[in-house]
Amino acid sequence: MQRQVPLSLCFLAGVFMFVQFFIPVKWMETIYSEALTWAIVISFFAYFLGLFSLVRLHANKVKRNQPDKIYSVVTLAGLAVMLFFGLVLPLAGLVFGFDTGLDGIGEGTVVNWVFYHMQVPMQATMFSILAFYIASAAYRAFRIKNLEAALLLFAAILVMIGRVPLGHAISEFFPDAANWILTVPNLATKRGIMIGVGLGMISMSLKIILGIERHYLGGD
Amino acid sequence: MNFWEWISNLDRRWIFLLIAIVVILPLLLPLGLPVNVTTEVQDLYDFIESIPDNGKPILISCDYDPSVEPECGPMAYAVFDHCFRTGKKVIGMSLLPEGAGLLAQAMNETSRQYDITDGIDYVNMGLVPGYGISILKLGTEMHEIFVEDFNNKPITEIPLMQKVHSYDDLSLIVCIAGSAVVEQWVAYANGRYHADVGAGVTAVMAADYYPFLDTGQLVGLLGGLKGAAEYEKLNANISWSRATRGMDTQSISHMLIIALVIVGNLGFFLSKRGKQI
Repeated sequence: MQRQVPLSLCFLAGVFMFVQFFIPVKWMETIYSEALTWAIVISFFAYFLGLFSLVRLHANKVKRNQPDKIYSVVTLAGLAVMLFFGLVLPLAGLVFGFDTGLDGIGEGTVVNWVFYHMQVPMQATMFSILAFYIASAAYRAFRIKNLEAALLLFAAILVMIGRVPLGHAISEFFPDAANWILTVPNLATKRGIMIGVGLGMISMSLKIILGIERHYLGGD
Repeated sequence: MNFWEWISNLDRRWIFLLIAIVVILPLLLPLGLPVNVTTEVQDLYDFIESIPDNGKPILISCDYDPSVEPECGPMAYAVFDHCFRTGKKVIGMSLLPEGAGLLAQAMNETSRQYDITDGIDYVNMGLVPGYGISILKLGTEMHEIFVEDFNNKPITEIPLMQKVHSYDDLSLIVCIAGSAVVEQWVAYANGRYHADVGAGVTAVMAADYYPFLDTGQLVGLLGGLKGAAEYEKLNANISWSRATRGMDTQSISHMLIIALVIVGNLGFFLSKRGKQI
């Protein structure tokens, strides 16, 4: 029973979503629209799950006194501050009728300031550091050890020169060559991969709908 | 250790220093290299230009987080600026929680430059959670998703939204993203509802979307900071030129990486280790 009910529900939902695509009648469209609303509501629970998982992971690190627990403390403190000013204080203000001017998410609030002046620059910095590591990794790892590596390197150099203004300033050849690489061999390869992925998705969906693939139910 | 072995095992801190120099110097001493406009950027610009001034609104979805803001942010500013300057109606939204904040920043700063009104000429609908499911749901009834705008104003009180219920009521969707969410816009908004979709993506992702350009599933594409710089050139608005300013840095740093790869290979093959292969 524990397996048959979810398998039956999955089969009915899967077949319905498949059929409604080809038969656009009013009652089917209504159920389809309602099913999408349900799915969006369910997706909200992912935020709670994420929050629970984050707190549990970092609280355990602090509790076990692990060497890098300071990072967990900072994470939990950041979460607490954002939740307090973004959720608790506005709710309290609503119930008890006060306005600190610092709560909520609008301009001049704590959440707003932390987001624009801490989170945005810090995350952008972390991603920007990648340029340094890419340069170092390319220097060490990009070796012409065989024909494939030589072809890859040659294509990479043409695209790197052709996609920046300096390449255009040197010669029209570089942007044209880069464009050809992107719109002919790259496009053909990507299209092949996408068709393969698409066929894989269809076969996996059919296996789930027909109950052949049951890993999502848990267990072996 | 001979010279080539030393080159082959160069301390990576020297590479970091070189990269830092080529990133910082062109920002302080700009070369002003001319930006050439590629077809895919021109196509998106032309598509927006072809929309009548008081025609159906354009939906711009800022689906990027702060980590890719330096690359995607200039695209959002350039597209918003183009729409507002040419009198297009704009609906902004984001499928990412952090994206909603970045959307608000881009929309507020660009809209301030023009004599346009919130709720009439543009509206920020903020976060729409649910990714692909929400994209599908927008095709059935937008008012069930867009209950209120970013400033908590009910949708029933927003004049711009009164005639907008599905993708049929939009002239274009522009998705600016740092993730594969663009594929969901293409598969669901274009594939299922035949909406016109344009995209702005990071440079490393751009190559993935050329098949969609070829099939017409994307009307245009901005690829990385270069794509944003091209759009800025078409806009010819000096207020938003973040991407153009970065082009000299990108040009020189690309050349440095190419030079490093060549030197690295020379070092490898001329050192003892390379000769053994």
